[in-house]
Amino acid sequence: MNPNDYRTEVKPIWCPGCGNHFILQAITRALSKREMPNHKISIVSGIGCTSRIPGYIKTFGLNAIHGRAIPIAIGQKIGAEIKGIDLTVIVNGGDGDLISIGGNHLLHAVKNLVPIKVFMADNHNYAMTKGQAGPTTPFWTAETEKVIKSEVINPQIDPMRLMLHNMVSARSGFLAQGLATDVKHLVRIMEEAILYKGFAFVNIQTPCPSFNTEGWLKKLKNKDFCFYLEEGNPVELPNGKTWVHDPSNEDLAWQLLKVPIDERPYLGVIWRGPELKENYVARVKRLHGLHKH
Amino acid sequence: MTETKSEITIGIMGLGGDGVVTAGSLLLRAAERLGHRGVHQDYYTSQIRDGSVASKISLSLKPIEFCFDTPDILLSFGWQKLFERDFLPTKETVLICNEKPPETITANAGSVYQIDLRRISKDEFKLKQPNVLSLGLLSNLLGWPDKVLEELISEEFQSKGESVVENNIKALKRGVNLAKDLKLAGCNVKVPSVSLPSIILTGNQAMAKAAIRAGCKYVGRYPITPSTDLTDMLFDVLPDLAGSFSQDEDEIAVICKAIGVSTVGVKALIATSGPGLALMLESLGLATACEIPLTLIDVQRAGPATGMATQTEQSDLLTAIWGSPGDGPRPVLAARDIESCYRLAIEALNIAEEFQVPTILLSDKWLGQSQVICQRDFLEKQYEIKERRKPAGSEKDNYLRYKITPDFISAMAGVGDEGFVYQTAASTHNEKGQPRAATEIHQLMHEKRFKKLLPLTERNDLLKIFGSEKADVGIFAWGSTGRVMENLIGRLQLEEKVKLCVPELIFPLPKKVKDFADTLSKVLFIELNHSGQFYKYLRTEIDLSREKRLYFRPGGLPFNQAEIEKWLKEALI
Repeated sequence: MNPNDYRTEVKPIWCPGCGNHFILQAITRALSKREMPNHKISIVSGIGCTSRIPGYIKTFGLNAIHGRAIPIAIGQKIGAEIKGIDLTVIVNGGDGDLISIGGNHLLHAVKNLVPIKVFMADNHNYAMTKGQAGPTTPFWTAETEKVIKSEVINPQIDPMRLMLHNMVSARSGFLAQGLATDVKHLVRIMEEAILYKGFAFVNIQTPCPSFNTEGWLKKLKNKDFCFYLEEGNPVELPNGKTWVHDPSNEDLAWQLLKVPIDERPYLGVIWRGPELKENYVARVKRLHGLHKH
Repeated sequence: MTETKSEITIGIMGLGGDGVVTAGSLLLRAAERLGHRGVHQDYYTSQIRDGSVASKISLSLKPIEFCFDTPDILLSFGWQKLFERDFLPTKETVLICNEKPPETITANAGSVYQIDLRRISKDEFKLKQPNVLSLGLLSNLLGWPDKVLEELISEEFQSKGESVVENNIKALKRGVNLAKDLKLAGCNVKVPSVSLPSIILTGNQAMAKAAIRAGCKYVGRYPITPSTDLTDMLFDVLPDLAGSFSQDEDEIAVICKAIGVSTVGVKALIATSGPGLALMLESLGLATACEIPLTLIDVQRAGPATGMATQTEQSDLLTAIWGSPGDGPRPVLAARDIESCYRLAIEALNIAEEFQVPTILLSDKWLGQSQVICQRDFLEKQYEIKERRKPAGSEKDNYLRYKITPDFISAMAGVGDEGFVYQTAASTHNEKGQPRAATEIHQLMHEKRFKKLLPLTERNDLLKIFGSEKADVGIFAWGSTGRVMENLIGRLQLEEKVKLCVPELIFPLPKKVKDFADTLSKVLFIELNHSGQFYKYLRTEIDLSREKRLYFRPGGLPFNQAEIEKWLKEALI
C-alpha cells in the first residue's frame, strides 16, 4: 500500500502551514513503509487541532473526548490481547490534550506497560481555542503579544524530561523527538516507535503559524536549530564533552535533556528502555497465579 | 429462656482489629451449615484500626435479607455510639460485654454478663482478637453442636499452620466452657424443616458472578468503598477465563479503558461508587454518543462528596439517569435483593450489548455488602445471553457504523475486523461516523439514540408489584428499600389494603409503572435519600396529582422495621 491508500476522502481543515499537515503525511508514510494492513491499526485522539487526524486516516479511528485518548487506546490494546488479535494502537494529540487535561493518563501510561504509541504534536499552545497558553508554552512567550499573557506566568513543562523520568522509573519505554516539518526523519522515528515492544512516546515539535511567535517559527525553520542524534555517532553535550550516542544510556539521556527544548531540541531517539517480554493480559494472568499460591 | 425461637438476632460490637466482622461471617457460615436462613449486616467506618465496627446477624425460618431491629444477644468488646440505634437491647436481651455498658444501653437492658474477653484471649491464648473465644460462647448460647464452629475455625486458619489452628480451637472451646460455667444457654433457634441447597452471597458477589455468566471478559476499577470487593472477586476469576483486569489511575481512566476494550468487541464491566460515578460522567456521554456497550455498577454510599463512605444511601439515582452534559440517554437499573443483583447484572450486560449503550446498574452498601444465606435456584436457572449486532459480510468495504435502521440499532464492527474499517468521533457524526456539525444530523442522531431504547419501555417484567391489584393505595420504593417494604407489608398483613411497586428498570420507565400509578387514589413514596430522587423523577414521567405521603431520609444507618412501620401506619390513616 502506498501512503495515499491510508488516506480517507476527508480533506484536512488545518491552517495553511500547520505542522499537523506534515504529521499526517509522516504517519501514512510510516504505515506504508511498514506495510501494515489498515484493519490492524487503530488511531485514537482526544480534542484539539491534532486530534482531527483519525478522520483523515483510513484505519480504525476514534476522535474521542478531551484528554482521554490514552486510556481508550490502552483499553483497545488490552481488548485486542483478550481477543487474541494483532492491533497497533496509536494516540495522536496535542500538548494541551496529553499533558494538561490528560496529564495523569500520560504519567500512568508508561507504568501500564501496554504497548501503545503516542505521537504528540507539541505546538506550545491551545490552538483550536485560539492560542491560549498551554502546558508547554515557553515562559518567555509572555514577552510577546501572541498568547494570552495572564496565562503565561508559570514556567512550562518539558515533555521530554517528564517522560524520561517516568520511563526510567518504569524501566521501560521508548522516547524520541522529531520535527513536524522534517517528514523523512519523523517517518523513521515513527517506524521505530511502532516496532518497539513497549510504550512509545514521540514528541513532535510542531509549528503553529497562527499562534506561535514569529521568533519561534523562525527558529523552527532554521536548519541548524535542532541537533540530530544518530546511534553510534558523536554528540556534543551541554557540558562540552563529546559522547557517542547510545539510547540505552540513561545518564546520556539526562545530559541531552538538560538543554531546554526551546533552546536546542535534540531530535532522534533519546532513550530506549528494555522491551516488554509478555503482553498485558499474560502479565495479569501471571501475577494472578502468584496471588493464588 | 428455654423456648426455641423461630427468629433470632445477634449483635456484635467492637473496634477495628477485634475481628467483629470475621466473627459475624463465621457465625453466618455456621448457621448456613446447620440449615438456617439468615443474614449478616456489617457496620464499619473508614478507619482500619480502632474504628467503630459492628455486626448484626439475624436467623429466621423464612428467607431474610436484612436484620431485625432488636438483638436477642448482644456481645460487645467495646461500645460504639455510632451504630447504637441498630443494637439497642430489651429486657430479654442477653448482654455479654467486656466493659460496663453506657446508660443508653442499660436503660432498657436486662441481665448483663461482664466478662473480660480481651484479657482471657490475650493471657491464655496470646490472641489479640477476642472473637474466636466469643464464638465459642455464642455457639453454646445458641445450643449449636461444638463441631460446626470447630470445623469452620480449622478451615479459616488452615493456611496459617497447625499450631494456629490448634490454639484457636482451644480458645473456641474455652468460650464454650465459659458459657457453660455462666449457664449461658437457651437461646435456641428453630431450623427450617425443608432444607434447600443454599449459598452465602452478598449483592456484590451476586453481581460479580452474574458478570461472568453474561460473558464479561474485562473489569476495571479504582478502589472505592463499598464497591471494591465486587471487582476483587472478578480479579480472582477473570484471568483464568482468558479475560483481564485493570486497576487504573482514576475513574476517568477506568471508564475510558472499558470503552476502548468494548470497541474491540470484548464485554466490559466497571464498578464504582458515587464519587467515581461523578468522574465518569463525561465519558458516559462519549459511550452514549458513539454507541459503545458498557456496564457500570454503582454501589451507592452516603454523599454528597465523600459523604459517609462506608454507609448506605440511595442518592445517585438522578446522576445515573441524567448526569451528563447534553441529552445522553442510557438505561438505568436498580437491584432490590440478592436474586435481582444476579439477574439484573446479566440484564445490564445484555441491554448494553443489544442496544449498544452504556448501562448503569445501581446497588448500595446495604445490599452490596450484607451476606445473605440464599437458595441457589436463581444461580442454576437458564438466562439468555445477548451479543451485539455484527455487520453482515455483504456490508464489507461499504460499512456504515451508524446506519439508520428500522429499530435504530446499527451493526457494530469490532476494531480489528477486516473489511470494516471506520472512523468515528465523539462529536456529532453522520451514519459513517464522520464528524458533522450540522443541525439536521444532530437531530437525527438524537432521535436514533433515544428511539433505539424505546423497546425497553415494554419490559414490564422489569418491575415487581406486590399486594392486591384491587388496592387503591400504592407504595413506590426502589432498590434495597423495595425488599424492606415488601417484607413490612407481609408482616403487617396489609396485602389487601396496599400494593407496592418496585421498578427494576428505572430509565427508560416500563409502561406498567404508569398503569400502576393510574389505579391509585393515594400514593406513598419511601426512599433512603434526602430529597426523594425517584419521586422527583417519576413526576417528570407520569402524572402524580393525587394524595401523597412521602418519607425520605438520608442514609447512614439503613431503614429499620420500627421506623418504617411507624411511618406506614401513619401514612395509611
